[in-house]
Amino acid sequence: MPRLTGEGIYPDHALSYWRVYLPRPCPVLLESESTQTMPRLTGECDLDSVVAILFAGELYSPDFQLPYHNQPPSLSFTKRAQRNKGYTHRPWTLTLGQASVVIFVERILFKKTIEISNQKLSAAEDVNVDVMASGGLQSVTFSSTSPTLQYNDETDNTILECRVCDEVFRFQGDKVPRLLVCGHTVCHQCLTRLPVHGYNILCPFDRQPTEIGDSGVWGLKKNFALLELLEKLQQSKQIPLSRNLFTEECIAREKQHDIGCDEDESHRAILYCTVCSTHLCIECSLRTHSTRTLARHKRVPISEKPKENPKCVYHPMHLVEFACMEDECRNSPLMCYICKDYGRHVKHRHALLETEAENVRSSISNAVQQTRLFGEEVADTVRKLQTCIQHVEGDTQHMVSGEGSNVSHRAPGTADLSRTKIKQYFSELRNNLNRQEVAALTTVDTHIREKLCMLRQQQEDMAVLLSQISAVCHQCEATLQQDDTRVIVAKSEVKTLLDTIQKQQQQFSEVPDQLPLDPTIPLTFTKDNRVHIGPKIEMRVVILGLDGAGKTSLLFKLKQNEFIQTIPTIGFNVETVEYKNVKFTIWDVGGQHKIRPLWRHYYFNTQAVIFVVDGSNKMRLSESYNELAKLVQEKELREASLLILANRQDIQPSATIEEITETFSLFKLCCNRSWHIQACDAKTGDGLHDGLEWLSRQMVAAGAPELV
Amino acid sequence: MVTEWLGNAWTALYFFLVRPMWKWVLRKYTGRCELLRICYQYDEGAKRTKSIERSLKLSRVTYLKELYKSGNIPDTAAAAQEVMKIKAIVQEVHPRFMDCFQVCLCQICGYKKLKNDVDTIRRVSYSAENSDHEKILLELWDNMMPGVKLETRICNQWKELGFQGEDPKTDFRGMGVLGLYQLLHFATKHREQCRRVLSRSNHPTYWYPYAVVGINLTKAIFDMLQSGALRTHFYNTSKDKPCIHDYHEVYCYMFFEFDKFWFDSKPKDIMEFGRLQGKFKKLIQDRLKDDPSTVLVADFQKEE
Repeated sequence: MPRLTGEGIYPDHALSYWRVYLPRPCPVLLESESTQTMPRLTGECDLDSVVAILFAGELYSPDFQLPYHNQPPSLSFTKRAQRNKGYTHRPWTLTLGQASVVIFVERILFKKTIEISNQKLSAAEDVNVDVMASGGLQSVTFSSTSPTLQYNDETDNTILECRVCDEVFRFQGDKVPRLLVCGHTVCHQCLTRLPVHGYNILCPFDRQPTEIGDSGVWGLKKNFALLELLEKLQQSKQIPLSRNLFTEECIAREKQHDIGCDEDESHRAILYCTVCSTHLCIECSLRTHSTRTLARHKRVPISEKPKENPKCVYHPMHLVEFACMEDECRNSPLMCYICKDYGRHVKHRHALLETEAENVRSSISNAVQQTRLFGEEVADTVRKLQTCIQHVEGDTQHMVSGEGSNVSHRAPGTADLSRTKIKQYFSELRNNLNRQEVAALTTVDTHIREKLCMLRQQQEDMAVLLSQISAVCHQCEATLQQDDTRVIVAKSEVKTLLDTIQKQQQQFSEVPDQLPLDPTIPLTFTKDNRVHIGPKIEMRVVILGLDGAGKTSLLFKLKQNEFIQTIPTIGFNVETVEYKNVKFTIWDVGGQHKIRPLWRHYYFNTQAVIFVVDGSNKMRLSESYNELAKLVQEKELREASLLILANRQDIQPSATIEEITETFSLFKLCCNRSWHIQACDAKTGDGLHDGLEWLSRQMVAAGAPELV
Repeated sequence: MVTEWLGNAWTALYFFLVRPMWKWVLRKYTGRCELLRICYQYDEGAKRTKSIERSLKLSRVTYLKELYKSGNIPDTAAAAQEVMKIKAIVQEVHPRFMDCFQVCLCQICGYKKLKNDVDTIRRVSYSAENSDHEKILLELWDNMMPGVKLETRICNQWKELGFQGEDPKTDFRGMGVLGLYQLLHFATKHREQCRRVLSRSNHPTYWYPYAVVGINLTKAIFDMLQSGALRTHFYNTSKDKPCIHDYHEVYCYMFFEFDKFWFDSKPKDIMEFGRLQGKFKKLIQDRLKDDPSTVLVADFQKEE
């Protein structure tokens, strides 16, 4: 048995991903010796097919262990110099004993798959095969000196071949493609041949196990995507490519490229032969490629002519094939394989030109997309700004009225709206004030009426009394004038009269206390512009706070101006405290945790809340804050003024009102209500009167005289 | 105004003229001085001691006035001798007087002393630095909640006892350590009753904070002691000077009675405490005032 050995196909691509595909019945075994060189190829002739994957220099060759026989004849690859075509279509000669085969390697971009198409090797014959696989329009052209070679019309869809047996998948039967768990697709026949490990078969490509049930390989799913593709390919293949494909229009279009025919200067080229690299017109093409070998050359329309890479600047003989990835070569990244292997870019990281170009293209297209998006955003913002301006200014819409005259209709903008709003607000305010004024006047009028009525009543009473008195005086005087007998007779009568008068006198002496001789009308204006007539305004206040904050002590200090150590309040204390012209009814409710839910029973009709914070106990400030936060959300206290007393300022260290304002974030918590924070101290009474002053000012309108 | 002035004039007249005259008449008529008359008139108890006290207070003899004022009489026998000398009472003729008067004197000055002692205790405010105070506080916990371990000195468990916050210290501000002593006294001396009251204080509707109520009662009793309302009780119960233990017993009685009163009143919620406590205090005070034989001792206290 001959053994094949191959050396160095792509010495420096060891780190790339390679797939070496050796079609049946190629008896080749791939062996790897180092990571730096391509594997040597050795082979056994009796092997049906070999599929091996070379990855990062390591060779994965599933399921074949080959018996090593006697010293094999060596097989060497020799290169045929066709460098101008790059890596693709580069012919290699494989010699085995006296037999040699020329193989072409086709590179598939991005996947870097090497396909070595090989044909049956026969030691007796000199085999010289040119195999070129392509997926283009033209079918594959073979040039072969061997009569044993068969033209394989399925070669063009090698992608739809089973990679194990190299036979095209079929819709049914043995060649149905089946999917393995790892994602690889293998034909049914090959799967049946694979050895079964327990309930698993191993993927021939990556050795991943796929579980098969009792139904065996038949249980695996068909690759329907592949089948669909196969169908499509077959349909497209049924359309034969001929010159008839070129319609007049096409020819006219191709002629516009205005490239002369290489065969005849007077002709305009329409086709391009990819093998000969010549521009041809249809006639010349037919003429020059009339032989059987040449007829298989792939020819494409001029417009589809593959773009050729330019020549290397330093080696004009060679094409630029690679792009250097090193930063230092950023300015001249292009290189041919000479530059790469021996020239300026030795040992530089590099990539295939096409790959790199694709990368750059995709990055540029990405960037373009990004930029477009950005542009759209900017445009959008401009639009929004315009809309905003329109909204502010208001739109002027022109409308044609019924008579045909042009009437511009103005839709109000926010500027106008806000102006209107202000006007509305102030007019409402004025109306309100007027109403309040009327109400206040009515109140005062009523009061005055009542007062005058009472005064007049008193006056009348006095007048009556006066007349009575004068009558009595008159009678008495009359009696005095009469004779003795009459006087005695009238005695009892006069006595009754005098008694009555005396009674009246007694009443009268008591009256001055009750007489409303005070002409003043004590007026006070409340914050809500009501008028209060009377010496005192009453105000209901609730003192709240944590237990032990000093609520009761404060209350007693206010009431009796005396500091006493109080005991814990259970329930509440209530006291009235007078300050200037306000009479405070103060409810001091216990602050114990369990009592706090009962606070709300004291909220009704409460005009002010005094919240006491023990400044000396910083540990409980947060608890205090929580209670206050609950408090300000109470519906019934929405209108109530809030006075926060920071108690125990005499004990150091004590939280200052600034600290408390900060900790409680009072400005945020108490927005939309009248509130005040006052430092105080129940022992000395400092700050208490300032607090009451503030509270009283909340009731009485500022600037209003206290008494009229 | 006139009536007020007249009232004042009458009071002055009564004390300066009418009363001494009336006393003089009685003295001439019965042949006994006022103190002696009281001794014969009333049996032993609050009525007699109170009358003696009043008599001493209104007396115009300096020595007797001094007796009333002084809070501490070391030798009551000598004082009695002196009074007998002043009032010319012959021991052989009135053998009962000496003992009678001595007991009364003892009770009067004992009560004064108790007032002072209690006030002294009250003035000592609770201090976390004082290890004695801390020890008593922890002892209170162990007695009230046997089997439950206090996690830390400052913790939420105190609320179970009816303290307001996590640290009971703040609740002792008004009454000082007196409140603590009394709570402890009730817990140790009348363990069963205390537990019963504590468990009743956790009633779902009629609940009240035990410890804080206790401190409020301490305050109420303290006020009663200072106003002299408790004299009836002490003059009735002991012939000797009342000691602080007796005072604490009154507290136990009050706590027990208040608990009953609270549940009998069926309060709407704890907010009624102020009103009901006032009512309760008034009730007790009226009993002490109206019935001179009132004794504030419950059945469970009698057994001891």
